[in-house]
Order: sequence, then C-alpha cells, then structure tokens
Amino acid sequence: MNPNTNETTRTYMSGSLSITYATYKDMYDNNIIFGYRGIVTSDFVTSVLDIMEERLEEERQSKKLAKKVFNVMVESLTNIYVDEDKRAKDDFDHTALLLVKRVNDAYRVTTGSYVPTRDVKALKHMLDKINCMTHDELKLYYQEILQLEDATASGLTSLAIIDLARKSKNKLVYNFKFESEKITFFTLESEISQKSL
Amino acid sequence: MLEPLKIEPTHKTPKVYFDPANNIFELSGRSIPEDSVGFYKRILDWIDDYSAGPNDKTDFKFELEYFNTSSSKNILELLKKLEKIHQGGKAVHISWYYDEDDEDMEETGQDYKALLSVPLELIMKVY
Repeated sequence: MNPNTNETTRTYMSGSLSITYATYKDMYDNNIIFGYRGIVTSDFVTSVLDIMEERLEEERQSKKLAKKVFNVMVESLTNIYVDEDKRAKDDFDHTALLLVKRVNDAYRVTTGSYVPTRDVKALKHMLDKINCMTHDELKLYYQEILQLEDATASGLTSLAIIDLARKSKNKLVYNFKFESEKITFFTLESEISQKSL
Repeated sequence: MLEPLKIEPTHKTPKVYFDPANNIFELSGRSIPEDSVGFYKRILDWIDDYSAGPNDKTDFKFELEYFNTSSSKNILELLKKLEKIHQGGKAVHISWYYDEDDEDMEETGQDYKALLSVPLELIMKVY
C-alpha cells in the first residue's frame, strides 16, 4: 500500500470535496432523482421539465404516475418561480431549492424558498385549510379561486397550492424556518403515490 | 373577414391557429409562458375582434399538454369570451382533449365545464 495514499485521501476528503461526497451519498441514500439550488427562471423551468421527462422515463413508472409527477412539478415550480422584474426590483434572496425523491412506489416533490416573514401566518392558515378539505371540497375551492380576478403573485400562489393538493391527492407537508423579522424559509412537500391514482 | 391568427409553438407557449374562414380554432401544446398575461393578450384581443362578427358556428379545440396556474386564468378568460359569443346567439362548441393517462387535464376540463354555460365536450385521446 502506498504510504501516501491515506494522506492523499485525507487531503482530498477535506473541504469542498468531502461535501461533494457527502452530498452525493445523501442524495443516493435518499433516492433523490433530481436536486437543484438556485434562482428559478422561466428558462430553468422548461429545462428542468425536459430533464424530468427523461428521468421519469428511465424510472419506468406507469405513464399515469409519471404524468402526475410531472404536473405536480409544474405547479411546484410555479410556486418558486420569480420573474425577472421582481428579481430586479427587490433585495430579497430568491434562491430556491427543488428536490424530487423516490420513496418506494411514491415520489415526493419538495421546494424550499424564502418568503417574507409577514406572509407566514396567512400561508400557514391557507395550508391548514387546504389540508382539512376532501378532494371534492378542494375542487370547489379551486373553482372559486380560479374565478377571482386576482392575477397578483399571492393570488396565483393560492391557486397553485390548491392545485398541488388536488393533483397529489395527499396532504401537503410544510415547514417554516424563521430566520429574521424579514425572511423565513418555507418548505413545501407533495407526495404522489401509485396507490392514490 | 378577420385575418387568421397564427402563433408557432415554443417550449413554453402553445400553438395558436385561429382561421375563421375555415372554421379552425386551435390552441395546443404546453403553456408555461414567462409573461402569461402578455402572451394571452394578443389571443384575447383577437377573439374580441372576432366576437364582432363571429361565424354561425365556431368549433374551438383545446389540446393542451400541460399549463401553469397563470395560464389557467387566461384560458378561463378566453372561454368566457367564447361563452359570450354563444350567449349572443351564435353556436359555439368547445372540444377539450386530454390524454388517457392525464386525469389532471380531464379534471381541469371538468372545472371549466362547471363554471361555464357554453357547450364543452371532454374528449379522451386513446393511444
């Protein structure tokens, strides 16, 4: 054995390289089939959808499940997409996280992004309300919100979140990690399972 | 007669082909435009012009692959304009196509059907 091997390995495993390995292992062990951290632009949305179309084909799931995962991703991305005008106008951190994970016969689509801390109470209230609804109640609620002439970002977020709950047919899992009076990190997870189709 | 409206499809926007002379009204593909309101304004404006002198019968075909929330609001606006033509005494028939594997697109069609009085037929595409 080369006496330098351990030293070399130790050197290589320090700093960013060890993080790379740990991240890879973590993604591998948790069956994360797609992961991204950064700004979600319109071009990113189309690129990631193209990539996911291929990934889901590789996964050899039923067409119905693949389509469902895909539709949930479109809505999840809507929630973390920030248009260029908005990015230019404020000093808010618009970096977001997107993870797609396979768990047995199910897929979990998770998004994480900063939201203004002042919006947390209303978001939590809406999520709890949605999670208490049956599929038929969600359908009526979606139709009600769709008809409102509210094309603002918050109006569209409400519609997208209701749509996520409808499409996934599962309760939405969420978390708010308070960082400051200004920003809170909002995590939202939707699960799409073969058995709920 | 109003000039046809033709918009070629992209990765983000649907194909639009409205040709009153041949009674072809088609919106198909994916709809996730960056500026949904801007993209649909041209379509809605064209429909406003068409509403001034519509055909005796308008057959409108939606064959969407997927679309995002902001598009869904604009599509509702488009459907409401078609509903007005129908209420004005001209026949309008809307065909809403969806893949057999896409129950979400089917449900969306059902939502629009529930919200509107214009005839809307849900048609499953079987492969």
